[in-house]
Amino acid sequence: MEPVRTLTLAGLKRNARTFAGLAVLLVLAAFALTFTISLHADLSGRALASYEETGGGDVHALDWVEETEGEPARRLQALSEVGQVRVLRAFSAPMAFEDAEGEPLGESESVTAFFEPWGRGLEVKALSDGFDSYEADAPGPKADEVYVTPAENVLSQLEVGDSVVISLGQEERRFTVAGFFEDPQMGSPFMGTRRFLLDPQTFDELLPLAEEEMARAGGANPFAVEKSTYPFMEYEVDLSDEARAAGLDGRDLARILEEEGVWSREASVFSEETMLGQSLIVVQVISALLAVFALLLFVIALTLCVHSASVAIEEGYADHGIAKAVGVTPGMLSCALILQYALTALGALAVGFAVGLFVEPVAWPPFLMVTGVLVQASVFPAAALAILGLLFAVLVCAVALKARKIGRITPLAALRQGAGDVRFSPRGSCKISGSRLSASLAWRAVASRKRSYVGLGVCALLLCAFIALCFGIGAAVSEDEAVNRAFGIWESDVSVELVSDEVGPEEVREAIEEVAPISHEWLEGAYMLNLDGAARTFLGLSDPSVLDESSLIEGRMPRQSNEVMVGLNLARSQDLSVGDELVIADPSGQEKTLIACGVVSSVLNGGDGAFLTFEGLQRLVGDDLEDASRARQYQLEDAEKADAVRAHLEERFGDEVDTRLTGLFGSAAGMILLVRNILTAIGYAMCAFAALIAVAAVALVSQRMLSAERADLGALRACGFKVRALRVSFAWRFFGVALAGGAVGAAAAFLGGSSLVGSLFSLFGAGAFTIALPVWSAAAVTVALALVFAASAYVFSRSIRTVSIQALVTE
Amino acid sequence: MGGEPILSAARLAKSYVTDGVQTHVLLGVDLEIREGDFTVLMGPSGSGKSTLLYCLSGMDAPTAGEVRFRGKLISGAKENELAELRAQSFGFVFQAAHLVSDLTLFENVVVPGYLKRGRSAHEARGVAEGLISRMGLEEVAAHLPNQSSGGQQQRCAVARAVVNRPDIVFADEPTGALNQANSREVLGLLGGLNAEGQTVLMVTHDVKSAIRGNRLLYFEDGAIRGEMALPAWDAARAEDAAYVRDREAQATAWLSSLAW
Repeated sequence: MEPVRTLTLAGLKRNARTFAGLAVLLVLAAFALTFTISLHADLSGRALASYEETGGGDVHALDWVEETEGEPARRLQALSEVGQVRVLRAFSAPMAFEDAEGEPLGESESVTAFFEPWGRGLEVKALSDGFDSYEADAPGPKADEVYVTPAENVLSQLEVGDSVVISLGQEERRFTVAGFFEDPQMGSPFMGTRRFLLDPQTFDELLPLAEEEMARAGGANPFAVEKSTYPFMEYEVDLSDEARAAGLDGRDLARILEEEGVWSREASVFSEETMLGQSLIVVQVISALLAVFALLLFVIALTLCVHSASVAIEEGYADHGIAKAVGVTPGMLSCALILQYALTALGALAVGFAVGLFVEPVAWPPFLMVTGVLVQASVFPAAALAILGLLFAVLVCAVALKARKIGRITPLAALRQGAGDVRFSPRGSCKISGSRLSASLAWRAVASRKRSYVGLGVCALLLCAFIALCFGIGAAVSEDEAVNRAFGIWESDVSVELVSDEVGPEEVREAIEEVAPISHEWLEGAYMLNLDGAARTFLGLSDPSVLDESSLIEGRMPRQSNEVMVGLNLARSQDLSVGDELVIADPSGQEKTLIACGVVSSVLNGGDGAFLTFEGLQRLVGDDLEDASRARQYQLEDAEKADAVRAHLEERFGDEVDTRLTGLFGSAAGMILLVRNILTAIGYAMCAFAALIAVAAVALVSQRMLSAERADLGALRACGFKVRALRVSFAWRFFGVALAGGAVGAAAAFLGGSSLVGSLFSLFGAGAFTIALPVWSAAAVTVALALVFAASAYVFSRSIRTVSIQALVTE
Repeated sequence: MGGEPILSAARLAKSYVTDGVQTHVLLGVDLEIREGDFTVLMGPSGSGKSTLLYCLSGMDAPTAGEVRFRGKLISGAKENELAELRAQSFGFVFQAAHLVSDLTLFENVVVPGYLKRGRSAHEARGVAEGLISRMGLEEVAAHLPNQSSGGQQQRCAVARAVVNRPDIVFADEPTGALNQANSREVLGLLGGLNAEGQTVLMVTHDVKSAIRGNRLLYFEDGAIRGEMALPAWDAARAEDAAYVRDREAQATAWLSSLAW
């Protein structure tokens, strides 16, 4: 093996710069892949571990205490599939947030929020103020304190020292935020239900008040999105060992419990998988995006690797021929070539893997705000290692396939200095004109050696497609209106609840229009109903046109009270399409049939929600929507005037109206801002990364080219070409190739980007997500990338300065 | 023969340091190249004649002394100034043709032609076509270098060297890589160009090539050791064996006197 070792080392030494360039590419690809897989594994692993540590059940249920007290627990214990059951009392109450100065903070709550005693339910961990560690000896909330999840920080910018004001009938209690806690069940801003922890004694004092309030209210559903006070029971239900051994999971248990009629009709039931899935939605989407990017980097690295091997074989024709003439076998030559690439790849992948592991923890804190759980330790990403191993094998095989060409080289090639084997394309390329000499020389160079530029073109194509996609996603979520369209949501500028009968909607409308014209006015109500054991949001809208038409995937908006427009994931899970029937049990247990009139792309309930007309929802859930029919939502022609409208209404009607925002997605702004920031940060990072890849690719290819063309360059210099002119010509080649490749990539992104991203975003229901990529933007990305290629080529071509005409002279 | 000096060297010295050892290659060379001359620089291998050619043509910077082209100092000129000189005033023919591999023979000639100041692209193409025709390359003008023979490539290189009507053509062993027939052709072309007034400075160690010149310089050990004048080459008598033999004999005798 000594000849192979010598040939390998000689090859590595001779083409050190090429292998260094390849190594950089592979380090970047391995880094991106390791980072992505590791991040996904750590976040999902920690979410699961945290869920287990805190004692969350395979099924989590909130059921109305008054109708079912004691009953579900008895029924649960009777089922063989059920193991342990933990029950905890909790209550829901209207609340508002205030900052330390007593100013209102965030927007009025429109999601289910409930209060629990610290230490009696899940074994949660308190987080430090910076959200970067656990507070080991957190005392828990004192009598006038509350602990909240980081989701409140995201959604309402709640911080330690701010206040949570709870309304319990006539009584108002103010609690200071004393800290945050990790909540794997409700800690994600994407969960529609939120948990607050109180001092146990204080909780015990408040619970009777909640019970009194519920009794006074006379029995409305606590899980509809209303501002009411109710006590309820919280259940954590585990699978029995036998059921678990039989392969059942939380989803199966939720379905069984539903079929067995364990819960009241109002119960909200979530399986562990549903809750974790909900909190990891953004992680899944971002991981998928990053994984696509990482694989793309690898494809680029692979393309350039194969290209480089091919060029190395062509350049080394003479050397290979001479080696064969002196008895070196083709196998040895091939083996040496493969080893050069294998060693480079192995080292680079190892470095990328190590760097990925090292850098990945940087991403943990931002993702705490998304998942609600804190990652503190990394799990060894065996999957990343396995994938890198697989990619390594692919790369080596690809080089080995190329290396077969060595077998076709004859010693005669050595005598001809390989000249006879150099292939040129025949005529057909443009004439070289005197007026655009640099550009036409560049074009000729490309046309003559098209194969040398294929790798570069593919690289530009992939990079441009991806950058264009990133820009398209970024632009689609760059403005509030665009975000609403993209995610199938809407926001009300002004909410008005008629507190007394003295004021009617017409008067309110008139008062608003005195300040700003109204573009939309509607009633909205939401109700959670169980379907296949899982709670789904049913939403009623008196004016469905607040939802942008572009969100419709199929069919139309609901017009009749028996029509329902279903979310994408609900349609998939129930196999529903337009015209199908959806049978759902109403709160009284009576089955009602709805006709699917459309399928919508909306993040409502992660794509599992359903839309009806307001009358349709009233028909479905009856009196429980009484409060909702008193609260109207308004969109103004000029949203900037919302504060002025509110001030005007308060001045005019005083306490007879409540103008706090109650729109369904009123609290989504913080969440969307977070998602937008994450997407933007990732977009910029990936663009920077792509530029780096472009530079590395150009360095790699240009070095080979300059080396191969040294004699030509010397001849041109001897003819009087200035170095700068030659460098410009060299840069033109890369500009042209990158422009062509990039244009194809941008066109692909333009044509297929929306469906690709849509299928990715359908994970959380936004399947009709449309990237915002106007032609000018796609063109700008293409030109910008081509300029990066050209600028890099110009910089790397500085070695033309060292091309000596003397080298042409034979002494 | 010989007109005004167009290229001159004064006290031209060049030394290299290799592994701490200094080697003096040019030892204060004084030289003038006159317009219209076909000057031939001869000498044994390793004598430094190519180094002298590099320094005279601006390819290499001398350690000391100066080179002037038409009175203007060019030793120490900036790269862009030298590039300009090469584009407008100097032409080069090397031992190997060194054509640009992805340009056709015609393009190899016309591309430098585009660099000539005050000449339109159309004119450049006309000049290139004329030269291609004169070099007998019409049939292969659209061929790439690797589709042409060595002789065709070298004739193309000569055409390229003179496409801008340079003031001086530097030829370094232009027939070194050619067979006899091709050598004769190339030398005939250079001689013919000289007959039309083209100044040529050629390095060679071949007497058969050297007799095409009208001024022979013998270079050895870093200095010019002798000079000989010959009548201008008569292209019409190129096939005249007696004429050729006579010139060879004169040159050989002169070289022998210098212990060649």
